[in-house]
Amino acid sequence: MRDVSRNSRRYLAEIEQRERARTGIASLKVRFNNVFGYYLEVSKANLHLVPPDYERKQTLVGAERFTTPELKELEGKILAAEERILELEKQIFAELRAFAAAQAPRIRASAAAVAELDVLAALAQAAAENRYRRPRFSDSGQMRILAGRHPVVEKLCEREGARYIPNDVYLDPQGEFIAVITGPNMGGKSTYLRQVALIAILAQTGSFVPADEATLPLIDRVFTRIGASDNLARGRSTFMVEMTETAAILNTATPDSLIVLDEIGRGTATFDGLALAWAVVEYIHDRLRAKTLFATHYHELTELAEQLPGVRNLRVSVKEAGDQIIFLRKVEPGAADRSYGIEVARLAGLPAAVIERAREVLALHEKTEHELTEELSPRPEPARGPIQIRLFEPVSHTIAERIRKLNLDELRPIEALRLLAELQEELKREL
Amino acid sequence: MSTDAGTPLMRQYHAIKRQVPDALLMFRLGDFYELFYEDAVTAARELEITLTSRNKESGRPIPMCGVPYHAAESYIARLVARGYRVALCDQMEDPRQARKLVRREITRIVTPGTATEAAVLRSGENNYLAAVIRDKEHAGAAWVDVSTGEFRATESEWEELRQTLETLQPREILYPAGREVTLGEAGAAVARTEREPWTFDSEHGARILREHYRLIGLEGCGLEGRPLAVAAAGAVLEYLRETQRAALEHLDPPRYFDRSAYMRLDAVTVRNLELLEPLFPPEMGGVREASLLGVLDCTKTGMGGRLLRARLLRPSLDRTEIEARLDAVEELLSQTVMRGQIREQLAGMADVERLLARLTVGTAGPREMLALARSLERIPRIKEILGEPRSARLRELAGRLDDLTDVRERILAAIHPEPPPWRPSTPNLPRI
Repeated sequence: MRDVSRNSRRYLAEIEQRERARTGIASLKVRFNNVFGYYLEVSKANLHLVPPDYERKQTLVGAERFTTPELKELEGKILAAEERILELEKQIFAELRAFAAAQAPRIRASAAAVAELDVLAALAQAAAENRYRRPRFSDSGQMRILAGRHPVVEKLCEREGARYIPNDVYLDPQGEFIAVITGPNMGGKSTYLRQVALIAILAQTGSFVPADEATLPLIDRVFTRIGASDNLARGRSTFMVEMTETAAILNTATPDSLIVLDEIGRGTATFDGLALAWAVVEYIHDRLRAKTLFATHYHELTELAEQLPGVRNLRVSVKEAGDQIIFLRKVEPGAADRSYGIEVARLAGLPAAVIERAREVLALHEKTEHELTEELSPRPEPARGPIQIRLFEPVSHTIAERIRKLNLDELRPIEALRLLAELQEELKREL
Repeated sequence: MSTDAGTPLMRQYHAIKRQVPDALLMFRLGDFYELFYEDAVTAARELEITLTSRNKESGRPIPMCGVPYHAAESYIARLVARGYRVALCDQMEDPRQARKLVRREITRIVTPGTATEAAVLRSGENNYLAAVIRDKEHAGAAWVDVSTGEFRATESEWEELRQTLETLQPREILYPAGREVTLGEAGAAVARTEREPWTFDSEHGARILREHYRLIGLEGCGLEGRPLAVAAAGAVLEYLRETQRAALEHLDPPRYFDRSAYMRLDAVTVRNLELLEPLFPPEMGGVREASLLGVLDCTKTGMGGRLLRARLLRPSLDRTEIEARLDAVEELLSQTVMRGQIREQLAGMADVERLLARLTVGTAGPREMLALARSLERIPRIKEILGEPRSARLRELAGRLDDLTDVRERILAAIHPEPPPWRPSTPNLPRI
């Protein structure tokens, strides 16, 4: 059967040769089509040479097609063989498939081992290509990263031929475990925040990390609340989204969590945004005790470090070189110099009078704000009179009074939000 | 339903169509899969193929369109990728031998969550089908990747479960009628399939799971005493039996998923930190590879790619496990030559999990079988390269690598080294 199928071409060629010799028609051909099967084709010019045992099958414009008993018999054999072969193949394949299916658990077990080996080798490859180091885990809960880098931004820098500036991180549950980071936008605050979270994730994935040295706690959960820009594109109420996410964080974080907050409170007016941000940091400090990185443009929040022992200030540094501000992207201890915006404006060539006036307004604002933050302190100090924000409309004493009387230790985050919403409403009515 | 097409063939069509009212029915007629009526209109529009009609003479034409059966896979893939369900109805006997009307039956229903077609799947990503049942604040879920065989079930508070599901990004979600669940924005693009409530019955679930896996109890899977997880796992299996109508030997028994063993990362954080993809897609000025996975993923196989992705989404909380992985990475980092040789072998391996799945559910042929065997040939070579590794994890992996010599040899002996392209399973084979 196999022989018939495999040698069918040869048999057909033999018939072709033999018939050519017998009839003397050099152009005689054996061909196949789906409708008529195998046939002998003879051109019009040679028709007179066709022997009587040829049986006409089809007439074309330039030729006629015939068959012979021999060809018919061969055709039958070939077709039967092909059919039988297909059937057998099907059967063999079905058996093979059943066999493979029965072996599936073994094959899958090996495939799983291959997958893991692939992952481990890939992580080793990535570590080699990107100079990653092995992280260590601390029992003390300390997080200490020396010269950490953002694994993705570092790559993008490389591609553009720029140098990535590594940064350190130090958070200690027994000491300062909340970092408030200030400095200009574009200064690398967000990158710094994310790089800490990414290093923690990489380490617990079982990967080496982009840092010269990393000692890490085991983190049970990473929370992020980052910027508002991506939500804007989705057309949702930014502030509501922000608060929903913040609520989720405050309700579920543990001392083993890592919280990364980037510019919370930005989605609303200045004052309530600041108030919320302030209250959130206090809550984390007093209740959750989760390691937290908090980037903010509210310079006022740097005062928290003076009031809460677990909070430290970090800033991204800026250098003035001639008529240019250089973002060094280096994170260092301390609060940012808040006048960099005015400096930028000066360098950009704003009229001297505008710069001068801006400095005056800033100084005034700083003064009132200092009073404000003093008041906001939950430490037992005697009240020093009403809050005044002279730069804007005077704030109602009753509102200030309500804030002052709050027992923050008993206030649940959701209540805090509700209260803030009420206060905001009242303020709006008054203005 | 119209009776204007009262031929025996169309009566057969209608009887079969009634079984799958919510799927596009591809009805095998000779060398074509044909669609009729509304299905034809939809398919012609989605696939950009010509809409014709049948029965024009009677004055009541039936809209119709069709695709050649040997090219059906790519058409099915396109429909499924757009969220449609496609039912395949095949000829169950050889038309030449059938005395009258050829017997036809639905052989498979392809849905977004159950596809094994290579054209629907992304190599480094899982294609999950999930079932979710919520009982007030408590909920159960199960998810399966038919294209690989992974099967998990869990139960927990609803909010926590929702977050787990959001990061899994299933392609299709099953829920009991009247108890639809809503995920966050991550769940918006998911195909949702309503199921009859009895398919979510936990006793029924326990029974069919035991039957399917020939188990006495579900303790081994960690599902004993977890009725919601069992209910969801049962609903998944019931749905697969209904849609696949084929052997499902490659499916793992469902294993209990314990979220507390992993670092928790919610969907917002996964997006914010750009773990899998950049916050801004390339069309918005982002860089495609600008994600943690993009930097890290130098895996060589689809299975490795999927595992790395899963691990990034669920970092471990088990220090022993983490150190074991790090020891292995450290060894592979220092053994440059060994690493290079292993990766070279891995690069020559096909996606064994997916090949096996397609072979088991019957959507692959001799070529895939051969690719499977050729990939298995690499395993003994990898073991040889590994030799006697220092780290416990690599030693353990070397031990778990099964040469599978018998499987490989049997396949290689049976299949021609250059097999013809596979013609989807069908009893009436084409003539030469």
